[in-house]
Amino acid sequence: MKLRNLMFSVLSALAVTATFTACSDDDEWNPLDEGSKIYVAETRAFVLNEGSYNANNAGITYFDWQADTTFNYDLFLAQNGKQLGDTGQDIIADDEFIYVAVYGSNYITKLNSLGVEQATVKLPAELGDVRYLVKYDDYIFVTCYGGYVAKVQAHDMKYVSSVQVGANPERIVEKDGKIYCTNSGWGADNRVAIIDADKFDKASFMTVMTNPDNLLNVNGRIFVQGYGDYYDYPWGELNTTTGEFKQIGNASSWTTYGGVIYMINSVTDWNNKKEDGSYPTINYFSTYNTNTNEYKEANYLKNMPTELASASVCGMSANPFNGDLYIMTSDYVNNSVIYHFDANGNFKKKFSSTGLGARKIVFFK
Amino acid sequence: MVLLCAFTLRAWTQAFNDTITGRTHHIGEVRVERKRVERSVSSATPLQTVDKEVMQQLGMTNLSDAVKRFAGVNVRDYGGIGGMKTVSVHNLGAHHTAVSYDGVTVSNTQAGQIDVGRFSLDNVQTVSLAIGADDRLMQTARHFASAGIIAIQTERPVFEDENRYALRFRLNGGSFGQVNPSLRYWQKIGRQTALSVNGNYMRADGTYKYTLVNGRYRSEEKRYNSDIYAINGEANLYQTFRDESQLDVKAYWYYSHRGLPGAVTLYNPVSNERLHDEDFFTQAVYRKTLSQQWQIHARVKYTHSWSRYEDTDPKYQGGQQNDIDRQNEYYGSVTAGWTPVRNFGLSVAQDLVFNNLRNNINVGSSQRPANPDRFTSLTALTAKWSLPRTDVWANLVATYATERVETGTNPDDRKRLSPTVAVTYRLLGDEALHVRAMYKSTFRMPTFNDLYYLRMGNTALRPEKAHEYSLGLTWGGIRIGHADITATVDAYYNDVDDKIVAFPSTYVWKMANFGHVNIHGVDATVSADIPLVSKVNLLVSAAYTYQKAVDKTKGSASYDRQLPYTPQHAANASAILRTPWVDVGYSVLMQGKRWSMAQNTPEYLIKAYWEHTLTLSHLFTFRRCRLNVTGKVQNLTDEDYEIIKYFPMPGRSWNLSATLYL
Repeated sequence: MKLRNLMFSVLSALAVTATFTACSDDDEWNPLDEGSKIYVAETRAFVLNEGSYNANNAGITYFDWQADTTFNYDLFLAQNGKQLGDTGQDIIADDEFIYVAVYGSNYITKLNSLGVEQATVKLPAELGDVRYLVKYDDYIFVTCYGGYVAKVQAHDMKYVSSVQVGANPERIVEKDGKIYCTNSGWGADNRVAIIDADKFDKASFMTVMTNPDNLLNVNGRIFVQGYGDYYDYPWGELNTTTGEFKQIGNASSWTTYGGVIYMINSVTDWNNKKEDGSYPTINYFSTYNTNTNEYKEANYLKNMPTELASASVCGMSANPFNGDLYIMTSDYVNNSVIYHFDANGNFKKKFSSTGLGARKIVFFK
Repeated sequence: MVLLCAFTLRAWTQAFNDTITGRTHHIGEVRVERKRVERSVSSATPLQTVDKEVMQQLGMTNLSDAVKRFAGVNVRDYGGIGGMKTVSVHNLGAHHTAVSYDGVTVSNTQAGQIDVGRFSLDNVQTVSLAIGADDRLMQTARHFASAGIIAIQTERPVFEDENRYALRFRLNGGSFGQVNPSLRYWQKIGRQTALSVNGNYMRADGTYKYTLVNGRYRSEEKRYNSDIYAINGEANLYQTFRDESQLDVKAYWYYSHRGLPGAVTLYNPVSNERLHDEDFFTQAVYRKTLSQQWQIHARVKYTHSWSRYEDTDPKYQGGQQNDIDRQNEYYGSVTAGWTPVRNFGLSVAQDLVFNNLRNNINVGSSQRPANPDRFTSLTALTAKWSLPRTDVWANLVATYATERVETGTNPDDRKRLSPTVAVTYRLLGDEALHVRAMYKSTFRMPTFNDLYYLRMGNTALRPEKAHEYSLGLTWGGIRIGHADITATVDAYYNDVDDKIVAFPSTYVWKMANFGHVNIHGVDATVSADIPLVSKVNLLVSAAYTYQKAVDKTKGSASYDRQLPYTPQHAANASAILRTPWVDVGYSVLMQGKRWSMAQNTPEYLIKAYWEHTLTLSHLFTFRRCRLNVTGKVQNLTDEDYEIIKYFPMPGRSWNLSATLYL
């Protein structure tokens, strides 16, 4: 125990030294010049906190992923003097900007890479409330709950047009100039819609599973996850040439780095009530290596805090710059706890997301 | 020192003469001197009452206005005329509070809580709140089965002089486009029978201004989709038989449709939720004294409620969601009372209830509606023993509930015993100074929503259990100068176990019995009647509540934190100045700071508020008819406040009403 503490201290000290070195090397980094009201580290990551329904408590918090230092305030509020709104649904980033879809408040906001708002857009009401985002060329494609995918110009956030898809579309990805989105229909739909991003005129469909939700594009391969007929979170690969979908496993959250999909299946056993009246949640870990097609149902995390084995996981993100994994958990009443592991699965830190329902993290350097 | 309230039997028989029995007993004038002890002082369980006159003079129009005056009560008010208002007693949750209307409980087996905003005070004689239970014998078993009971007693016809009828017409109007005419008609039919008919219509745009605070920004906004149209009617037949037994028969109907503005959502003012609902019930209450020792009360009731919730949004198939619920309740209760000796009484009450719910909630999904039927039997045994200085009241309710569903699993039968014991002891022989103590073990049944709601419902739920302990001191008839003062203070401790909550999992939540809550608190009330000069008197009252209600769930991240929406300090006060020229009523309500979330962090802090109301009224008399004119300004200081976060309350508003009695 003592040894571990000592090691942790040494590691932390090294991390701090590394940060100072990084900052002093880079004289150009001055976030205050970019309109930021606070000093934001260059190696920064932004966490989207979903908040709770009807509480307008969605928010964005930030941490320095290299120094592993966290800040316990709402960065969006600090930078913009106003709240993000109700139910933060999705956050994406390119090299310069962040785009956030806020579901209940029904708008998309474009922030610079320090969280300062640049522009917002509200789509026509008949499209339904905004859900998930993907950027391709100079366009943001967004799923809208009324059964549409809308196209928005990224530079000025002007709405362009929309295409009808299936019911209640959710996640959206791009591959080879085509936009893919799941159509959940809250269980009444089972398809992925495909739209040509340039023509943007109509959708074609491929059948996957009942109530599909999540999509990943890993090295040009499309993976789909959803609720399935029995709410057991099946996932598998969609062959976009043949339209064939093949289930591989079960997972409720995932993220990807280096061609590997890291997954957790948070399963609450409703048939096994505990003495205190609660129901046990067990997290099953698995990986899928798209380079070797190897599927491993084994825990890739080392020295994981014990409570993570049974916490409700509400999001996972990987740092694209170093492969570190962030696992977000929530009890939906108190602020989320984020567990940080390095690319080899070694536990590094756990910290509060300073908001309810952490969903996703975007990284910059 | 002690107010000796002298009243003569003649006066009493006079009052009796005014009732529909029409019989006058002539007894020689006997002067009876005894202390006037209010039931709030002598009751073994905490009891608070507000009567018609006070409600009128303080400008109260809705049941929630009256209930907010009680100590130990937390009203969750979602704002606006049509906004839902639920009542939690001692922080046990609204599901533990029963509401009774003329002696029979009102129920909602689907949601389990009663919206007190539905009840107008138009024809109400008294509203009372008993914590634990009302310590009388001749009640239904259901009256004893909740942690607290709000009892609404409506007016009974009183005919002055030789009149055979009485007519009252009221026109009420005010801010938010509110127009509310009502009519009350009383008719005497023969010597033994009277009839009353009431009708009430209300419409309001409901739109009001509020201030929205968003970070650094403040903006003036308007609350839309708050309109309401409501109509209700009630007819009562009061019959006194030759054997002096009484039968009251009532039919009640209520229909409304309204906008549900929902929470204020930043950057998105769209609100399309609507609710249409209809309630009908008919009840009969029969009371008979069989002998000096025996009496019997019988009650039957049938209730039908229907509601349609409608939401228009492109996210729904066909662009609209329509949830239709229909509930029926068939209810019967018989209470037999036995008083073998003057100071000891026993009663046994047997209630049988049949409830069902039919809805379309699961239609269109892979599941079919559960269509549950519930049969409940409640048996209550009550004893009251009065010694010279001590009253002991004990009650035991046995509940058995069994359920059958068309689709899915039948839950196990539920059986529970809930005992109550209450004692009051007069400390001094000649002073209305009492110490009282109460213990009650109670529970609330899982509702149909808890059990069967699409995917969230859990048929394995057990009842949520609560224990109430209270210890109090009451003192009535305190004389200071000419003032007559009554004061009560009760300290209490409650715990709730097996709380029925939505238990989170990654995506699909389910209802579960999970969690433990401890509640400590103090309720204090004081009222004083102060005669100033001839025909001018001042009636002041105040109530204060301290409550510490904390989460005691093992392993909870909010362990030991105050429950959301629970102010540590809440108080109210009122003053009524009665003069021959004008009656002036002033009241103030306050709640201290509280949090909207269990984690009690600054971003969820809701600031304290004070709401002041001023009412002026006067009764004009022109020969046979009388006219009451009342004007009211509510939220006098135009305070911006919220009871529920993002459900802003209206600012300053006014109301004018004219009531003509013929």
